[in-house]
Amino acid sequence: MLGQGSLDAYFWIGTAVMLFVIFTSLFVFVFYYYRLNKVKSDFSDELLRVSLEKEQQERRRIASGLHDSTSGTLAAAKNYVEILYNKEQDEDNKKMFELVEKALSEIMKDIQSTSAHLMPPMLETLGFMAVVKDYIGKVQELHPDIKFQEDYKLQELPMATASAYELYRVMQELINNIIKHSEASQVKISLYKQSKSFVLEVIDDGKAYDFNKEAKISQGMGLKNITSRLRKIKASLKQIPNRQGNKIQIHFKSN
Amino acid sequence: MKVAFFYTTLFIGLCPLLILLYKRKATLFSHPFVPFIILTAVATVYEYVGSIVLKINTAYWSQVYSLLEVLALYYFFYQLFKTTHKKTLWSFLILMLAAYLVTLINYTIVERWFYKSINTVPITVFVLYFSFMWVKNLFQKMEVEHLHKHPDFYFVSGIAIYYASTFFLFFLMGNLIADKPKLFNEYWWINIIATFIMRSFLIIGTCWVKEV
Repeated sequence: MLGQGSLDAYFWIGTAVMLFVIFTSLFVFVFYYYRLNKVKSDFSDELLRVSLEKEQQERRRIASGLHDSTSGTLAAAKNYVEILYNKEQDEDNKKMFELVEKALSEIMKDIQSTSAHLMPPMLETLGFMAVVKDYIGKVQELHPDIKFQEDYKLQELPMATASAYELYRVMQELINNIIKHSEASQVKISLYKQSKSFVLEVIDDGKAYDFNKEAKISQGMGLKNITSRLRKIKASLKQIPNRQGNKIQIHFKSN
Repeated sequence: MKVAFFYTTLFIGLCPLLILLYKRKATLFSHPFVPFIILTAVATVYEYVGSIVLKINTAYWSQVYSLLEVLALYYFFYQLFKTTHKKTLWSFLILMLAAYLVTLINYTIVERWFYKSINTVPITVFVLYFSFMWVKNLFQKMEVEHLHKHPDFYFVSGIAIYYASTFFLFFLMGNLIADKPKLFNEYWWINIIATFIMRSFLIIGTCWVKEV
């Protein structure tokens, strides 16, 4: 039989060891878990950065291919058709050439628009604001049933082109979603400075939705892409409760 | 001061259940830890009314509690691991119930601490084993982004801390107080402090319980 003193010692040492083991395990577990999570998150951020960069490169390649090569070839084809038109005596054939020329002009216009959509050429030369205004103007032409209002408190965004490009894509995705799903009749796009950061605000009077909830359950890539692009430029999205429709704010800092 | 701490520890046992009730969402009660939360609240009420107010011997409650505790914790880990550790779970349940039956058949108030020590061993091993498995599982999947917002993290940590720190107390209590019964209160403080830590973890965990 153990004496009271030995039992006491076993009890206190045993309890101390158990406490030490459990608290140390807990500490090590929490510490390594967060560390591993950070590594995983850094890795996925890097993957995201690379994939967005690749996407941008590919867009640029296709856009310049369409603009420089395909448009060039079509312009040459149009010239040949014009020459043939001038040489042609037969009126029926002349009409055919006219139609071909018209079709070629339409194709060139479409290519120009697709190329600009893929990679806005003005972003590097004229800046973010010019691209946004141009885009909203085109969207307004295509959707006269929706009234687009613009309210820009800034002349230009002090932002690197790469970040401005991501912001532009986010805005484009938000507008596309409104057109496709919200059945809105009015959309307001604002850009202003709020203390040390900038805010791009898109308000619509269409069907209300919960951005975060939809981004989680949605099968499409639109909302997920918005989240990814915002993470890339370290911007945040806030959905402000609105009496009718949706109010989305993108908060970002200049870089 | 000691009395205040004792009563605080006792009454915070009601908080997890009150938090769940306050949230007013029936679906929250489907969380696998809810039976243990309800048991903690029932234990709090019984310990106050039965043991403190009516001065009923705690031995009977202690024996009933041991069974309810096994069932509640088994249910919790069963819901977490039923697809991967079914055989181990069943083995532990048989072991814990066998230990409980042995102590129930032979139970006497005089030897209550001896029987408590028999019940303590399998349940402590069970809790620590499945807590370890839970951690292992978490590292393998790495699906939880914010550990501090995950209710199961608090529930598992809380019960693991409690069972690890009170193991030697319940295992040796009978022998420790055999010669010096007056020292019971001294040793019992280990249980009060461990209960306080566990209940605090349960409260935080319950705050993070969300609808599935």
